[in-house]
Amino acid sequence: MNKQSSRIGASGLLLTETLIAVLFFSVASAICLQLFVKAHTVTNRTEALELSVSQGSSVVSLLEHMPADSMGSVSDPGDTAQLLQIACDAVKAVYPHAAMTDDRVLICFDKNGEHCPVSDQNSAYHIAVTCDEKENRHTDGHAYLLYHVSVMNLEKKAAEDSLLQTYTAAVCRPYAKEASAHE
Amino acid sequence: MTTQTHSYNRIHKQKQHVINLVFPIALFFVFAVSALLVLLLAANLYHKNTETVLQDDDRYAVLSYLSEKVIQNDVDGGITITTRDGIDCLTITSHYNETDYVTYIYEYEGMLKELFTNADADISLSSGSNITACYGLQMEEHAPGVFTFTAADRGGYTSTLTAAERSTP
Repeated sequence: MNKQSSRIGASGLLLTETLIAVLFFSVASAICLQLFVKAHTVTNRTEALELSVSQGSSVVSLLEHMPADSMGSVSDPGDTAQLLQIACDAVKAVYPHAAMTDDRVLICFDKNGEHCPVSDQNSAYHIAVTCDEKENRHTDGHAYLLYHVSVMNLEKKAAEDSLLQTYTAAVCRPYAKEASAHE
Repeated sequence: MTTQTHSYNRIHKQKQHVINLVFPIALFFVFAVSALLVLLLAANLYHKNTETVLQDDDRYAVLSYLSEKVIQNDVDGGITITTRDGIDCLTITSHYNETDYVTYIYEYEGMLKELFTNADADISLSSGSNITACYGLQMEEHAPGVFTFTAADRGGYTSTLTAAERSTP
């Protein structure tokens, strides 16, 4: 009788030990899997950030380069539509598919970072150029304009996840002289 | 009857003993194989990440250098792209002590090179100083003062950066 109960006790101990081992390894594998998924997500985000840095800074560079003759046609630094149209024309030198919507200029890219039309269903990223007329100044014969450049990942639904980078392009150009010449 | 009972007990005891031994060993092998798989996956991931970092460095080191050079030498629209010995060069003109000088930045035999010389000197592009490894470089001037550089890495991937002079207009 004693022998039998001791054998049952040993089997129970072995079962418990096995269960604990299985549980431990299950938890470990779940953690490992999570880490792999996280690593994959971080890699994707890094690629997106690389695109946003190179293309975002390129757009800023183009905006800051805007030639004086195009800025000379500005009749009112508070006219957002006119300023955006000028910005759209400036970036079109490098991004021919850039398009102007009501309140922004949009430049779209596919998953591989190739520039594509705004209407393209495969757009994965876009760069939005906006301009707030309240931030623009017109003093001392110069127009001081601020353009905001936002790089968005269109594959992310949440707003805080989709915004990759924001830049500000400060443009200062002779203004009154050109405006008076037009007058 | 007694002999039969003894025989049954022996067989039963033997069977239980075999399961007790085989099950933990099988479980051990399952865990060992799983651990090996995780290790292989992690090593593969680490290798891939390191490779990506190296490839990014290949491209962005070249693009950043060119971009900085455009910003640094943004004076009187003195930057252009010229072709010398069939190679596209970012050409920066400068003027010191009443003498014109020119700086060429270009890709030559797998290296990004920079050559600073007198504007009139006839000098070979092989004489330039090595800056960094370069696996392919294309330059394009879209408009006066607007340059687009496309650099490739060891894996054949490319990145593009546009730099524009502000002194041109």
